[in-house]
Amino acid sequence: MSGSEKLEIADLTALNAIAAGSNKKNPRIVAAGIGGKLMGTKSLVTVTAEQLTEDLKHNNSLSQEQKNKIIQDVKDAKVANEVKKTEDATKLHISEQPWTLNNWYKHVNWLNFVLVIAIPSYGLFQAFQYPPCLKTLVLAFVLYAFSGLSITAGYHRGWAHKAYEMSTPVKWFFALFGAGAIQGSVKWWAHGHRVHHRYTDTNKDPYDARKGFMYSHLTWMLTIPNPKHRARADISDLIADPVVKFQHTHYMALLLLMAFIVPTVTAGLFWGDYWGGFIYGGILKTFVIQQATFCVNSLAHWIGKQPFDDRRTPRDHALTALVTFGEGYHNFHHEFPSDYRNALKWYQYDPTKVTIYVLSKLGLAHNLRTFSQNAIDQGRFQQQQKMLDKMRTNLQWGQQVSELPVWDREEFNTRAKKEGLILISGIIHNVKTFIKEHPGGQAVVRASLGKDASEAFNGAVYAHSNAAHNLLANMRVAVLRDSNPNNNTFAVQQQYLDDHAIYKKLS
Amino acid sequence: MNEEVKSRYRVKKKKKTQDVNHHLLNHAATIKNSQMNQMHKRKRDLLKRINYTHTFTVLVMPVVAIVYLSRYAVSVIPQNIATLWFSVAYFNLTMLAFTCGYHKFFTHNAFITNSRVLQYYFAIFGTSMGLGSIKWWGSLHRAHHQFTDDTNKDPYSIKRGFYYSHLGWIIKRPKIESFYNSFIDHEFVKGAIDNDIFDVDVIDMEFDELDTQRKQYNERIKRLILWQHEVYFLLFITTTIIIPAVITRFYCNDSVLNGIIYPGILRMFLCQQCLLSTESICHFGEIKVSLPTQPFNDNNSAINCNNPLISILTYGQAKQNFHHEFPHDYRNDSSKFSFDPTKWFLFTLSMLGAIDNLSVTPSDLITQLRIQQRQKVLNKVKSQLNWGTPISKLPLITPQEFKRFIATSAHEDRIYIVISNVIHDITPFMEQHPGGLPLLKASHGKDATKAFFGGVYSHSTAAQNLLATMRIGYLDNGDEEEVWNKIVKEEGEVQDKSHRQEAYKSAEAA
Repeated sequence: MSGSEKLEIADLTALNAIAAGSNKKNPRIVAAGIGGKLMGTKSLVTVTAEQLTEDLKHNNSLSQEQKNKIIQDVKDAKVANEVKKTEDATKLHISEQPWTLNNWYKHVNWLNFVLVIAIPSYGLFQAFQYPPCLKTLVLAFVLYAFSGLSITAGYHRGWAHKAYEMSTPVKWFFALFGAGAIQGSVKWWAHGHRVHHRYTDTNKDPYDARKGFMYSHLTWMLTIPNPKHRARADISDLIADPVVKFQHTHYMALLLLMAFIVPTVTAGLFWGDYWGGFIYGGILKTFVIQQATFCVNSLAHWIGKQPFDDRRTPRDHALTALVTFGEGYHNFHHEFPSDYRNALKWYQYDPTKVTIYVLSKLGLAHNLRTFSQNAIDQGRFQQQQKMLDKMRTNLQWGQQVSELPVWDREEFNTRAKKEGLILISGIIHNVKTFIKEHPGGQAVVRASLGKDASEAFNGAVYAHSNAAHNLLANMRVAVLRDSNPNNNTFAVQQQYLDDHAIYKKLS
Repeated sequence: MNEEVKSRYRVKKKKKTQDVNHHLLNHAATIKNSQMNQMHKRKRDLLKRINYTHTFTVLVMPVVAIVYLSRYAVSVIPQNIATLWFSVAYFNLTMLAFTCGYHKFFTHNAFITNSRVLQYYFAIFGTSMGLGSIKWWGSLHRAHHQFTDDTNKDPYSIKRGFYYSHLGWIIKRPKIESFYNSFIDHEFVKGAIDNDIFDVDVIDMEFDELDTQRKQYNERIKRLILWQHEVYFLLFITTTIIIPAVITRFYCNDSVLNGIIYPGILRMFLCQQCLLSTESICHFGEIKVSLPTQPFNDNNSAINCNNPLISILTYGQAKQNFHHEFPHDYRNDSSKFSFDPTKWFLFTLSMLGAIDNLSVTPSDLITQLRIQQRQKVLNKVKSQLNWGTPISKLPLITPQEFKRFIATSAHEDRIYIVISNVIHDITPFMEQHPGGLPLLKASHGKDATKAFFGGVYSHSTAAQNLLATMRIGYLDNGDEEEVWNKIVKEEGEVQDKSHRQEAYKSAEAA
């Protein structure tokens, strides 16, 4: 066959360009206002499709060897760093340099430090000085629920994964209250999240869970990341969305309005608690939501079960779900990202799923996406099979008949009484150590030494259980010549029982 | 209606008409007569088939006691504190005698004891349940384990209904009485305990002494069982009426009547219900409140009830699935922390040295069985899922054919992508693709193997499963060996698994 008849191979660079969205007019991903420093770093997203393709060639799967290699690389880099500390300190990017007394302040992303650590600390300090009033607490809780759901149902499942289509009023609601959670604009947030899903557990993952709990929870946000690990995802659909566009351009104003002004003014105008509204409805509410969202990145990759795939870090846990408005079933989520559900069972806590479902019944959300139950069951089946196979390899299952040596009858007869051998189903078993443990008594076994006890074992005296068959298989020594041995002792027993219906005579 | 039929019949008989109806009616009357006869016979049989001793102990005595209590508005709980404590202690004492003695020692041989005190404690206080002698109850219980769920041979088969397995079996005599009589004789009189059927001529000297010891021991136990069977009713009255009454009268300063009712009959009733519900509730999977599971074997009706309340109700014997697989294990569950007073009592006794050879199943065996059962469940799940068309059944399509195929106008809006030489029709999935539609469109009609397996995104197993369900053909590059290798790889796996399935099928059958 000539070359022209062969099928065209999809061009990786072109595909990566589509996946990264760099084939279109370059959209600014970083948050507006402060020169791209707000929660994201400009240098992390300026990357071409060629570079991405090149990177992926080195880092496309996650076998244990590769993980070890990465760890080794990191160690090597550390050693190399120490050697070159003095020479190359100026050449290396700040994130590659070790923390010293001279450069520690360069490692920290100070803006994020203020937003995530300093302001909440101040709020906590004030909360001790200023006890809350009940109305303010209720307001704070309502705002917490609104902003939290805006992040999970809006930012996450609505925009980042497109798990369903929102109607315009719902979009505005989510965009406004989402801004109040101080987690960046939809555009920035969804981009980061898509990158996280595309490069889970690699260096390009912005909150790489392999680097430890604290890194994926907070440190990734407080330190300057390495621009070598840059990545991009296509967000052309978000840019086309006018609500996202508006929220992005006026993000700072919306943030101040929704996070601080609205709770302060509400509490102040209606029950005169301006300061309480600011502390509890503003700062502390934001703090709780931020920590809850960070928990998805850290806790959901840290504790729980992995019912669908254990090759990556995401895990399912009810506790995480409780803290994060139902985002805790993370193993499922990483396996089936564009499913609008996170929890499948009715008793699992997923208020976000319920919210989306109710919105769809009210006609405010459409095209709720679910993965086929077949695919979900397949994933669960494969993981269970894997765990079962692992359990199986830890146990003794006895040798296969084909692996056993073949003995003559004479050899069996001479060695039987001395070594305590019994013939069952053509296979010779060494039962010497087991005689004393036999549940049916020693005499039965000892009387059968050197004899064919197949019938007695299979039902003439007692029809032994599966467990007994398993135990017997561990005592195999050899096969008797011309005795037609059968590996499947379960089948032999069934055959015997069918042939001789025991206790027939008795009845 | 009956009268009408009869009168019509008589009239027609008198007229002696050769009507067709005549024969039919005649026939109907015969059938009816025979049915009536059968009913009468069944009624007569029913009276014969009632086991009066057990009806008295299980039904009459508790009912009389409860009627007395409600008639005179006395509390179900004894008013005298000392009587209450004695009732609770006596409940545990007799219950342990039954579960450890009757059940684990005499029936399942879970341990050996040379202590006469223990043997007689088991034999005497076990009778206070009113559930029969060791010989009778033990052999029926062995029959239950041997023929579980057999409608005829299992004495309390759940297949004959919940109430039958709970109470019916003990009130009615079994249908095939001769079978049970010979079974009982076989179990405890001439059968399993002494091993006369074996010629014991090939024995090393070191075992000889042990063997005679064992024989003497068995002989002693046998005599005990036969003695207990003979004096069963006397022992029952002593342990259920006399001992409680005496102790209540002289040590608790309560009336004799209260002694007979509270630690006597009501305690007995509670014990009976605990033990009987083991065979009914723990075999009846339809009650979902008991949280039933079958982690070891799902071929019989025995279930593990995970509801702790059922555990307490059955005195720690709620894990029947475990018990039916490992009957001679002295425990009732593989877990260390389950509620099981029998286990605690026996463990303490063995620590004190009162009992020997306490039978414990090695944890490996338990795990093996667990694995086999889980594999069986998984195989069932697997067979019900759609895993896509196997490569061997896909049509071979040459690249030219494929190009022509996608060029036709009918396939304009569809997306076909080749991955690992298999042609996939992605159209039903294209809107759902988490990575977006543009990527799929750009790969339409091309080989995207590298992009799929990490060039753009390293897809999850779930994605690979989904992909397999969308197979439509195999791209024929003229390399037959490659196709063959792939088929072998796929079918080989399948063969491997089906082989395993066979093994488990037979395991299931065994």
